[in-house]
Amino acid sequence: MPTEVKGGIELRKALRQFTPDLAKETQKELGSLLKPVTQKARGFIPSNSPLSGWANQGNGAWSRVQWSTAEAKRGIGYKTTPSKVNRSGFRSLASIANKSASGAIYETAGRLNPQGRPQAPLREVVAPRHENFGKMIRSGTKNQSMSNNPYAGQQFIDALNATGEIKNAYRRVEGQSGRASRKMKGRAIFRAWAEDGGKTNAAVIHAIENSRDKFYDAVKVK
Amino acid sequence: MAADVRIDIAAQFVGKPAFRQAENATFSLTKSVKKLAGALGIAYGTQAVIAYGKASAKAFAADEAAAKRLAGAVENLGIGFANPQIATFIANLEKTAGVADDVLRPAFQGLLTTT
Repeated sequence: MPTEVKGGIELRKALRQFTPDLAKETQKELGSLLKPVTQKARGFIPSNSPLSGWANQGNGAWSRVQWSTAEAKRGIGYKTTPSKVNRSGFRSLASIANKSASGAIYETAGRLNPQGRPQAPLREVVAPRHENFGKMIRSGTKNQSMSNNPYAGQQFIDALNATGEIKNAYRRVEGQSGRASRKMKGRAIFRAWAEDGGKTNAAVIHAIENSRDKFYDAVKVK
Repeated sequence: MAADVRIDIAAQFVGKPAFRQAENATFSLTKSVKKLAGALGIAYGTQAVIAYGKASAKAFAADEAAAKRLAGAVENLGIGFANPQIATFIANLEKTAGVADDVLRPAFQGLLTTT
């Protein structure tokens, strides 16, 4: 759960309108705070494909998410401009993201099902005009594996775990109620954030508060 | 997928999009009601429209009561059979003279009772 600030968006607008130099300076400062975390996260991306076949050129379903170390590293970055409003009604003033498809898979594979997804059951095709009519095919939901290898998910996750472990960056604030977020676990950006131990988060908040004070000083009527 | 692979730092609650949409919808509805009130030549806002509605309901009730009173007076005089003709006469007089029926009815009632 990110630290909640009040008036951050308004402060940014005011900075841009009345003290553009201070606005730029604040952006730069936030960038300099977030950069070390993203560089550390890039360091967690393996230099070779975690699975030998993942980097091979193909034209199947996996061709879109083919492994590329350079792309996975390039996909990790930070943003110091406010995000769009999420479903819960929050906007973040800064963020770190893992944007590439292969990088996102490396980041998150196994965080929901550490032993891989359960295998989808075989079903007989009963639709008369279906090309596989009368045959047994594997049919299930996105939470089930379509592979004929019942250990496919487990083997994939084991191979990824051999190159980097999943770490949970979620920290429960004292007195906080509600369900813990399950989306703060990962092998690259979340691991870097977890190992940072909240130092960067505190520094970002401090930088925002500093810019607020500087803004008040700058616009004070003398 | 990419939406989940992100760490948000220093978040600010700005209100749920669904709530904002509902708020905007209510705002535009209020605006169109105001426009409608303007078209009716009534000054302005939802309150005025409600007041107009209340006033028209009141006027209708008063009109109905006057019509009943006239019908009762005609009945009492023993000429109840003439009620439909009286109603037609008042309606025609309203059209030709340009005087509202709620003025004509009491006047006609007064004429009937005194003569």
